[in-house]
Amino acid sequence: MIDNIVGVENLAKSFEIGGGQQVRAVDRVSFEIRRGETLGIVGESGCGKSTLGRTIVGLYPASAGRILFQGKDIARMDRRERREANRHMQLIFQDPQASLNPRLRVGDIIAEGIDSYGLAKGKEREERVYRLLELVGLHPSHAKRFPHEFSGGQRQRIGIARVLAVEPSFIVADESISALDVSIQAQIVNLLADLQAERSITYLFIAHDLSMVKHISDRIGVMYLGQMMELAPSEQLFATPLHPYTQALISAMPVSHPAQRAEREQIVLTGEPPSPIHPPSGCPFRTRCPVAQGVCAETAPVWKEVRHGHWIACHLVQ
Amino acid sequence: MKPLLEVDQLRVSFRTYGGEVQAVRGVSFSVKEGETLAIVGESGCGKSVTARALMGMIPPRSGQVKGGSIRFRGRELTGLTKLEWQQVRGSQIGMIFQDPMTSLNPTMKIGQQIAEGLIKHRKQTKTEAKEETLKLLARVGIPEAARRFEQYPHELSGGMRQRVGIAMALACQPQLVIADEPTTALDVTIQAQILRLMKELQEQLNTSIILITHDLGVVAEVADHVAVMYAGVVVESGPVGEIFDNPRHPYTQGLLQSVPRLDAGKKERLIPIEGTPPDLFRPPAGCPFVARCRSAMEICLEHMPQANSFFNQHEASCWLNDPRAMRTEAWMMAGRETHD
Repeated sequence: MIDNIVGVENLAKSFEIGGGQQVRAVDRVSFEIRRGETLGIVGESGCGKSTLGRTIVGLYPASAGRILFQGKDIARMDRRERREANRHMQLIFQDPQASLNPRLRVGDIIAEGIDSYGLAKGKEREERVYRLLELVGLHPSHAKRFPHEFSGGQRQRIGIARVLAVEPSFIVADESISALDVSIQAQIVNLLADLQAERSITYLFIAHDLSMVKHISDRIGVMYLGQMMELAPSEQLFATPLHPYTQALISAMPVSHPAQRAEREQIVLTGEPPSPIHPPSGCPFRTRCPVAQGVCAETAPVWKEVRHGHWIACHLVQ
Repeated sequence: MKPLLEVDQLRVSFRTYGGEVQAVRGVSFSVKEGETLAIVGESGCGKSVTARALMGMIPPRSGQVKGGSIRFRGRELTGLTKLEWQQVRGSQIGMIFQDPMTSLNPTMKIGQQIAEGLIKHRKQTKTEAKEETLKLLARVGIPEAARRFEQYPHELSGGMRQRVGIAMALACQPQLVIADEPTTALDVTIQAQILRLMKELQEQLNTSIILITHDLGVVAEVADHVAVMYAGVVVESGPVGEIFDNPRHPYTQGLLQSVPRLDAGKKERLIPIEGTPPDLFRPPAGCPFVARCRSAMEICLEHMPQANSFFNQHEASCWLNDPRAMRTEAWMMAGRETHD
């Protein structure tokens, strides 16, 4: 039996947008995250990937469906259990500039979680902060400084130290490296990988950069307009993408070497994603799908496992 | 054939409360007709400032072109008056910006914004300009051009706005288009559409393009030549194949190694460039990359390396390439292994 740390069953999250209208940012999403793995979530802006991450860690209440932490429904936990689950499920934000309080010293930012959960006091608290700073590649003396004194990459390290302070077992990294330069991105990605190896942390890694997601993830889920289109082990997803959207997404990526320009057949999608306020009937991708059929407009495809560990929602793949 | 644009030892500085920032410190490159030059580098390397200088858009209050020359079709552009720049910009040199939401006028219909240039530079009448604009909109792949003509920028999606930006840049058929991170704000499927559109239009019109980007994938996709910038200087330049296959500067090698390759094995460790770029208030006397360079030598600290030439206009400014340097081929091989 596989040990799942987090499970999501038919999860949906809608937002009221006034005028009695609703946006279904996440709709009927189901998957499991195995202990110690990195599950990547990719998709274009507005596909609901950030909402998914935020709903899982409890920043947004779910509109429907269940979120399981270690096999237990979060909604049915008592206060104490829930608080403990919250401590174990943490989020690293995209913009380290906006997510660190500019008026607090770095040491206090990192210690906030320690204080809130009463994990350590006085000398021990201080020691912990220093250890965390060192762990993420900063210096203990940095505890006395303010966030603006750091570069973007260093600020992201502070954000990671803050999250690690409460010793979580599951971390959602929501576009956590997107705002950084490539040479710095590699530093942060390596840091995340080291932490995973040392502390067997599970990651939900949300990003729009496919090559980075492929690099870091064991399995990858592809989202479009609030729904999961395909989920498979990374290598398999890139080698044999089954969903027409995944195929288009991978083919839209720029080549990694100029010599590959001539070799490939690129599927360039026409048009743009439809509005999530008025999603198309049936399959959300059918308006841009190069192989859409009549049935795609009529019924929503079922989320099914078509090969071992390879899930897909498409009428055309059996 | 003479290049369309020749930039020589361009220097640009900004005055700030903290002192003078030397954002561009002696940049040279050239662009031929119909060619795409990509200027690559990370935030703060001076690539956007270089682009702005080429368009005469360094804000006069805080910034200044301190030296060097920009020759466009043989004409010196540095020192042009505001009025003279207005005649060059939009008509001979077109511009595409990163975020079309902030570069388009939010209070003006998009059709009028495109037609404006045609009326001003090509002395067309309103009716002629409207007709031409509708053709341009269709050409950049905007459906229902007549309806879109009457819309405001906020009514368009990001991809559509960038298409409007491209239509504006190409309206007067400039010989050179400067595109500053034109696809950075766009999703990957839309980026593919826009890059393809730019390539098609370039082939039809034989336009030269200077593409400013931080994305090596975009470079691999569209560039003919590449200039790699770091801390206000060009550290390496050459044909795109040479830059990817035989990078000669440790910074270029580092950049190429720090991005994951799609064909790489699973969970192969990335090789980051440790540290951060230097402070341009006090630019280093020697090579700007010295503090982060694994092959740094003593001379790198004190003296700025000169550009060394290699095969096919490939140049790199690194002491390791100096004929007097010890022949340590190992570091070059290390770079090559991962990029062939």
